[in-house]
Amino acid sequence: MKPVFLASLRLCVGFLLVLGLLGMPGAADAASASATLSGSTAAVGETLELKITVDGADKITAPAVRAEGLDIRPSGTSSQIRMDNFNMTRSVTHTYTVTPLKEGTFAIPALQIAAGGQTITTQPLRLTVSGKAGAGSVGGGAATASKETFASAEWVLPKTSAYVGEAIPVELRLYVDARVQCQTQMPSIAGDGFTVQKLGQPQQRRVAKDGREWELVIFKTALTPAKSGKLALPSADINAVVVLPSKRQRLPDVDDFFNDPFGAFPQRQQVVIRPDPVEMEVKPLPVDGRPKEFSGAVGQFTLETKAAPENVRVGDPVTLTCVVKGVGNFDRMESPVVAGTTGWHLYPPSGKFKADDDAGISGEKTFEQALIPEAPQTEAPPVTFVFFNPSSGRYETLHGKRLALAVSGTAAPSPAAPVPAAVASGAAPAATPAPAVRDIQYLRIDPGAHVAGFDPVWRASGFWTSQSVPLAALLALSGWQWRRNRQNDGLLRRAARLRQAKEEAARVLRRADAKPDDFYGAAIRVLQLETALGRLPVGGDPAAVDAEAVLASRSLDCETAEGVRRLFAAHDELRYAGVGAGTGAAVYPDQRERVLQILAEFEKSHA
Amino acid sequence: MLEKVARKETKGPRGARIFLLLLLFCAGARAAAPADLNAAHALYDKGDYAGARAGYEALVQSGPWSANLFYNLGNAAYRQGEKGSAFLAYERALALEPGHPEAAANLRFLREETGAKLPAVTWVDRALEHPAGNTAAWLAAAAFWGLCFSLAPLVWKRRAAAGPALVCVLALGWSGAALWWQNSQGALWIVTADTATARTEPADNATATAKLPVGSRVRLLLERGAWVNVRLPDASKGWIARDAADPVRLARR
Repeated sequence: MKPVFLASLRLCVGFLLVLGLLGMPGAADAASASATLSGSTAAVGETLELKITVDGADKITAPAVRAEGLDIRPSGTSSQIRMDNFNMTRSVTHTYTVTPLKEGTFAIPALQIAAGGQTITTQPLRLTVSGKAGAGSVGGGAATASKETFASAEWVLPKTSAYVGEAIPVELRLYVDARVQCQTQMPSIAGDGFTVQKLGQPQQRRVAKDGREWELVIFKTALTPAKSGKLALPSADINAVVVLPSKRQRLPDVDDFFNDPFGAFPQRQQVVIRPDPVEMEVKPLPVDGRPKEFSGAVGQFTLETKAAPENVRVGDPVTLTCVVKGVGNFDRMESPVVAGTTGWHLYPPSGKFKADDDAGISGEKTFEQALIPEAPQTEAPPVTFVFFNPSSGRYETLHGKRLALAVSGTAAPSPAAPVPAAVASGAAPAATPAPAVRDIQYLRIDPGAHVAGFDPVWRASGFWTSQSVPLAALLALSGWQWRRNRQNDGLLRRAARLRQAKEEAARVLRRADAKPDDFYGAAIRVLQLETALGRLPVGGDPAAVDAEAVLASRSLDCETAEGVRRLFAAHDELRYAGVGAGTGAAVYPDQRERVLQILAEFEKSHA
Repeated sequence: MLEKVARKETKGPRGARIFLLLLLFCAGARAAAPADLNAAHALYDKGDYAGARAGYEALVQSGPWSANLFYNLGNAAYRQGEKGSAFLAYERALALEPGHPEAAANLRFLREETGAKLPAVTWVDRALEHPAGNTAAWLAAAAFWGLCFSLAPLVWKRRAAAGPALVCVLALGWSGAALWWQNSQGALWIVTADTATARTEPADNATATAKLPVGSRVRLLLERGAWVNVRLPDASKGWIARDAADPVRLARR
């Protein structure tokens, strides 16, 4: 797609989105109005702030507010848009300054405001005016400033009467004046007679109460009475750090803004906010009609059961799963009772709780229990769960549905089925995940590779025999080859020496000034060395080779053979002719040519 | 151990056991091994673990041995609640076939169940425990022959295959060291009693130094009468009763 088209598409989508967001909420929400006063008590001449907030409207004319004994004047208007889950709400707030003119209790009447074609009404407010302004204090039950409580806490209970073991959802509500900056910590709850669930993350919202705006922080938990009688709820200390205005004397004849107790310089202070004590009537669980299977569950529950696998053999584990759902004291709940266990071997169950509320008293708890059938069975053992219902004040019994199973095989002679370690220890905590039922691996039905024994193979004589025979062969072969190499080396060295001597004799033959005895001696030596090379590896002195031996080593034609004989004879004549023979002038060229031709013919001939 | 096992009371159907033993004696153990094995498997499947165990033990007596045979014997012993015998059989299966996966898994399972003690594994152990047993021997032999053939060209061609020769030298050194180390550790024994008490002296009234749960591994150092001196899993030495442990290596009858 082209960039221009994409940009246009994005623009259209954005425009539609903005249009939808702006147009969506106005028609949906009905308008409402509220009036809040910055204090319920004040001194004569002290300035308070009155806010009239209209939600769900955007153009509201500031209503005229009149009350006896009070000077009320408009000081401004503000509008606000609030988004909550894609639900947009507009609100308009008109602010007034309220100055008491005399002592007494005065009422700001309900105001009727026309908004969006309808008329809405604010609640009336009451203000007590005293003669002079008092000093502020911060104390135990509630925190106050300038005679006004700026923070307080309270318990909110659904009822004040309960049974022992009944989990009661409670709220600890903390109110902090909306104009006070306050950093709170998690409450510290301690007391006898109750167990307290872990506090969840607090919820916070702004509310109007007694004509003022408060930041409401709600801590949710559940209390479970541990004994009967009239019990006081546990103390709950909420440590908080508040930022308070500095205390100062009200200045007469000065603009009200400068006398606003919340407009002064801030002062940080640590306070403890504690709710008023509340008592609860705790009744004991009735003894009459208590089934023997009752294990302490109090609340309202349902039971679901299942067993898997459904087709097993005797000795194979079956996992029985019981799911208890509802509201109650899951932390004290024990597993449903498995009855009719004849032919079954049971292992301790394990439980896992999954809460679906903040207080941890609503949800489902899953119990898993390993059962080993010791004989053929057609169904799993029945399951019952007994609990006390505080609403009806009676014990109730739930029965699990019939679970069909097919257990084949014959009855096992002894209950020696494997016990999973985690289950067998009996220490599986209720809140830990249930371990899977474990067992040893099944048989290996194939015979497997046969082995001779446990002794290592290197200790067996066959191992060394099997290694030594080829090793001996290899060594023998290597020795033979080594000897052969040595022999070859000797022959090569002898041949090299003979070739070197022959080369030296050839050099004499090539010399033009060679004397006859040297020339013929070199020729004979060439013949002898050539014959010796051809007779290798037979050794012997080459100088001992005579004419017949030379002729026997090659197949020569008659002329060449005769030439070889004459050559030997000429050499003998020169050797044995006496002093001076053969040492004179050089060899005649024709003789020289003839000798070299004989040598060439000899070298060309084959052995 | 086999004698000990044979003394234990078997609980399976008498007819099936007699039939099995007759089958073994009549047919000849070696020739009929697969059929006997299947008969033992069938007894196991029927839940007659005593009969199955007797069948497996008869096959062990007659041979041939295999890791699977000892593994199945371990399963039957376990089903009877004889954890010590099961440990021993699984260890024997692993001794015959170090990579036997089911035997290793069942051993882990049993160790978790009983808390059997094993010696701490050092880096030397990790380096030299593999290749194990016969694998090391065959690797050493192969490396040796590889080295021979790498050096043989020196004689024929006056030139050696240096790279392969180096590899073979390293393999030979490693496998040889593994063999030496494994052989120097002493024979492996397994505690088959529910608990074995290690003492400082070979006497019942000697100071006890350790309690060894069933399945714990010890290394034999010395045998003296009814006591054996062993290296305990914590590397210390101690004396334990001879009938509280059994050697993994089973001598061929």
